[in-house]
Amino acid sequence: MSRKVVVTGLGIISALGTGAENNMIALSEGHTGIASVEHLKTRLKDEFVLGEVKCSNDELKHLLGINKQLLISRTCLLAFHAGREALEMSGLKEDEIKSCGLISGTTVGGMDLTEQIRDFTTEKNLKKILSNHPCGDTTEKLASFLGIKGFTTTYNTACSSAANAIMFAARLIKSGRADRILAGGTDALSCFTLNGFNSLMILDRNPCRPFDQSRSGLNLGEGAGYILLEAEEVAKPGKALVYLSGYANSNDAHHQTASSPEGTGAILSMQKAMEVAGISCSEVSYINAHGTGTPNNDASEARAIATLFGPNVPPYSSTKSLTGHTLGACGGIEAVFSVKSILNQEIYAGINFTLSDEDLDISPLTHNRKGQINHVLSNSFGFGGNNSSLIFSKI
Amino acid sequence: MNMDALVEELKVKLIEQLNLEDIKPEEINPSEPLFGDGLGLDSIDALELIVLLERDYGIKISDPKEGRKVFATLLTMAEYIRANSPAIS
Amino acid sequence: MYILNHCRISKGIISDSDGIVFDSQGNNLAYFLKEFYKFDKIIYPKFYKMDEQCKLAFIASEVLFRNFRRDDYADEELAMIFANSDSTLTTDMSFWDSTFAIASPGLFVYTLPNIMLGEIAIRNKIKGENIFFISREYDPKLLYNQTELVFQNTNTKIAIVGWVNYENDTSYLAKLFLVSKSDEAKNIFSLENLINLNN
Repeated sequence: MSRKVVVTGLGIISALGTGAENNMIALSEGHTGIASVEHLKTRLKDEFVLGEVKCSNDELKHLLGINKQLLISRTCLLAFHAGREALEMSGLKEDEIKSCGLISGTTVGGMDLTEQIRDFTTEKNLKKILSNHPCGDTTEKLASFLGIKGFTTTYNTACSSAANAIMFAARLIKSGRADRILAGGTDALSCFTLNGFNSLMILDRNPCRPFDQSRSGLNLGEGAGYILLEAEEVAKPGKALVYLSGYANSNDAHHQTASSPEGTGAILSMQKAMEVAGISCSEVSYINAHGTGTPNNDASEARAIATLFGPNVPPYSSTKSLTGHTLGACGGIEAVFSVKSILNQEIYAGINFTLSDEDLDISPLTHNRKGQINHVLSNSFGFGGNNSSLIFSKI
Repeated sequence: MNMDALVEELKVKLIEQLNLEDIKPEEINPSEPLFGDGLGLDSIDALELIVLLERDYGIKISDPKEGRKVFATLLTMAEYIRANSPAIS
Repeated sequence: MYILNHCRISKGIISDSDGIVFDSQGNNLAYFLKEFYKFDKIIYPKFYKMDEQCKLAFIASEVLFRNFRRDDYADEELAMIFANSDSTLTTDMSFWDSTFAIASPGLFVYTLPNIMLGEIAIRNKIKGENIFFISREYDPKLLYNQTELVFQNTNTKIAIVGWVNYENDTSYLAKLFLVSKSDEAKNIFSLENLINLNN
């Protein structure tokens, strides 16, 4: 069986706002979500800027109608917001939601809660807090919050987690093993990741500048992005937004954290995704790049785009210049942006780019542009050389 | 501490910090490149050496590019420590 | 789909489809993985830099690949489908402890479970699909279904499939299968064999 996969619901929460509408307003106006640290309790507070979701946990709970006293991770709260929005948009009925699947990516799980434990020997809620810690618990709590009782699983392949979740959901639907799956990812900011990326010396103290010659690192962000995928034949009339037409994953086989200079893995994932979608380089309308703002990623990714697309390099940009790098969630958040690009027939430039690397004769999009947008390619690359590409296509 | 003693100390610390279990201190030539072919060190090792400098010698390097120059050889590393460490006079 | 080889490391014993490969005589994991590394004459200094879980996955993959004709396949024709329950919990805690003094980049690198896939990919030049699931327990059905989908949907010809989980030096399990899409072998790659073999 080979069925077409459509997207029927979008849900997002990021530094740009709560919900798809707020995110799109910020994106189209180029309002950045990257700012001084407001919510994360860290001694590195004054050293870095972050793409925080601009709500406290109490505010997030209030918006969700959850009791303030409930012990729950921020990663879960973010997922609840985005997951609920995607399901609401799709118009699924209660029994349809019940049989729906959930595939979710996350890299930190309940870390934000765990790291608040001051003393493991005296903490009275220790067991309760630690039960939130595993990545899989985040997914199970999301399923239970939404009323999903179908197939549920969790991905952790670093920063490509959400993109891989979406890819696998599409395969299950395409092959007839499932009709509907909510897929995406969620990650909250944590001191754990902030310290980790700081130790790798790939954080910029100032707002990040993806693909710009002066770039010197990424800004960490947080959020969640989920899309509801359905087999075209079961989607309700008028609900299908776009096709998810292509997807692929590959390994760069170069280094634990760095991308190869020639972008081997990136070339493979983009190329295979286009093969699955049955389109050629010249048909790609726009690339939502991984574009973290680190010297290494952007050089490698831009080189891969230049090599693969040759004379047909489509407009490309990194929305991480506005949201920050949301790690396990970025593939979901950028999937929402990609779908919106097709629906609005507009591509979004991101900010802070002036000049490309000297050895590169391509450069990213610098202004939002309206036009015919048929196929959008979205890249998500992770540590461990894990590279994924998704392609969304106009119906 | 004189230069020779510092170089010998660094050899031991290097092996420990970077888990170079197959290598003995006497096998490290202080004037040979640390990165590239020699000891097979990579960018994560360079970051670990930055940690070593801060922890053991009180020197903070905030630009990884600067680290690359300092860690060219064991000798350049020792010279840098001698010139910059408050812990060594 | 056929199982060309399988490897299990648990309770101090390394075995493959022919039986016991190495018996640690009761030594702890950290010690005996290094012993096996020397015994098997592996030369790959990066091994010493890996955390215990990565070392476990690495050695299991080395055993799995013995007698395998790697050069018969293109880099993109090999895929990896892994899962575990604890993600990288032990190294997460070591890294967290390091952040109170100076956060260790060498530890942070290993706080993602798919770094195991990355290390095996670098060693064996594997550029095909690579996936890592977090499950409550060894889930043969999930692994079987996902592997089948990978074979059906990509140009994968060989997949390394299985479970690598490290809790501590006495509680750990690596359980890997080398699966071929078409090369015939004694054991068929089936849900039953994922349950019954390699135990």
